[in-house]
Amino acid sequence: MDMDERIKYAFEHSKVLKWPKQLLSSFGSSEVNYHVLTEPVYREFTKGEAETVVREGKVSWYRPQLITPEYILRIEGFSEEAKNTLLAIASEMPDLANILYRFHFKREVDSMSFVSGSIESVADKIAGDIDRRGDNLSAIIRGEGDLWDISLSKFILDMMTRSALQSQFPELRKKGLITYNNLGYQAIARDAQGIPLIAKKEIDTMFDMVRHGDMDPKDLKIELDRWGLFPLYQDRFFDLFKRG
Amino acid sequence: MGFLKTAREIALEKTSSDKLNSQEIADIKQHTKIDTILAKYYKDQIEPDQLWHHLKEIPEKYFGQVQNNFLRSFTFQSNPYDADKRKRGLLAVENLKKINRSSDIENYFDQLIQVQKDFQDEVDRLIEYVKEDLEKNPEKRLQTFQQGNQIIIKELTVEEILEQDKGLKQKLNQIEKKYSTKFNQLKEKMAILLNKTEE
Repeated sequence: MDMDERIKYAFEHSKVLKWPKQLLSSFGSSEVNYHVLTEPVYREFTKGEAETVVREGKVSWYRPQLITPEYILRIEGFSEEAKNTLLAIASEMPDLANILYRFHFKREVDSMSFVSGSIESVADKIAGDIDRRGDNLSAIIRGEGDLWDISLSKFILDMMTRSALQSQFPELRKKGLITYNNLGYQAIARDAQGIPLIAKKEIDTMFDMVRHGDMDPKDLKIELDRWGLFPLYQDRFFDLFKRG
Repeated sequence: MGFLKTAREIALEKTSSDKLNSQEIADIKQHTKIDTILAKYYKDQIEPDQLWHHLKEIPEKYFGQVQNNFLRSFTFQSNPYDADKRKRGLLAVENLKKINRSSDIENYFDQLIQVQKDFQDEVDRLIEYVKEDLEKNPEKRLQTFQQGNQIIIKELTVEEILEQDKGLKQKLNQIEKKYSTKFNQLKEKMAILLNKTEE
């Protein structure tokens, strides 16, 4: 198996043995503790008792952001291919609701231990421990040998998909920030002036933060530009710099 | 496709090497008149029941070519409005002929329309299946774009799902190929019938 095939195999054969009881928060940041369980790479050379490698660490997510395809086009970092797809969506469905997740995890794990027992029995012990602690934000993942980080990546992706489906989209709909368009797709709700309600909400919060010195005005300007709303808000923006 | 070359096409081919004879020049003139009439017809400036009035000065031997034009411009992708326009045009011209084969022409044309409908029904069934599958597996509806530690999740349209799912796309292509082949075979048979009528 070459590296690409191994990665594909690891991606497809990773399994979440215990999902966190809680999904990612829709209106705040989240942190999930992970336990990736793999068989030791030396296992085939030993005939003794089964051992499991347990890697523990944390994945943090910033607050998910509801955005339009056009907004994404103004974010730096996405490939040309992704941008071309988004450009097509932006022209056909400019209001299609998209959720942007930003996450962070260290490739170096917080701890790594070798535990006696099979993956299943070790997973059971850890799961019992998590339940006893009442920890709703811990996950157990069955990984594939030295490609355990691929298994973790798959978990991160699945965690976001589950959260988007079961938490973010329904909660944003409930708050009236997403509505269904005439084709039955989830679209960003707008006010009478055509401003996305979510943009209005976020921008108002950012104006308050800048006014109280909790945010650099540059960040507010970036956000206004990403929504394409600077012309509408420019008077209010420049008022921030007036003395007295 | 079994369409005969029009006299005009033959004449235009000749212009590069040979001189045109008086018959060929007359043919070109007639075809120019026909093209003008048909252009007006396609632009909805002439109704089907007014076609006879515009074609009355055209000799009957050119009617087959007029009908071929209608048939040629009716494609597998034509919409119902364009299909109806061509059908009515074909029949209107047929009614001007001494030997009238309207029922055969109508029958063939209806079969062509039916092939289009059958195709659309099968596509609709596939879309319905995709929709039902999405109801059961809603995560298939979400698409992710990842760049480093940023991920965007968006809902896919059914068209995008059909486009991105290789299996579904292949199935869709197979359906289209099956029906477009059937459509073109029927069209060819109909062209033969029209050319026979011309004799």
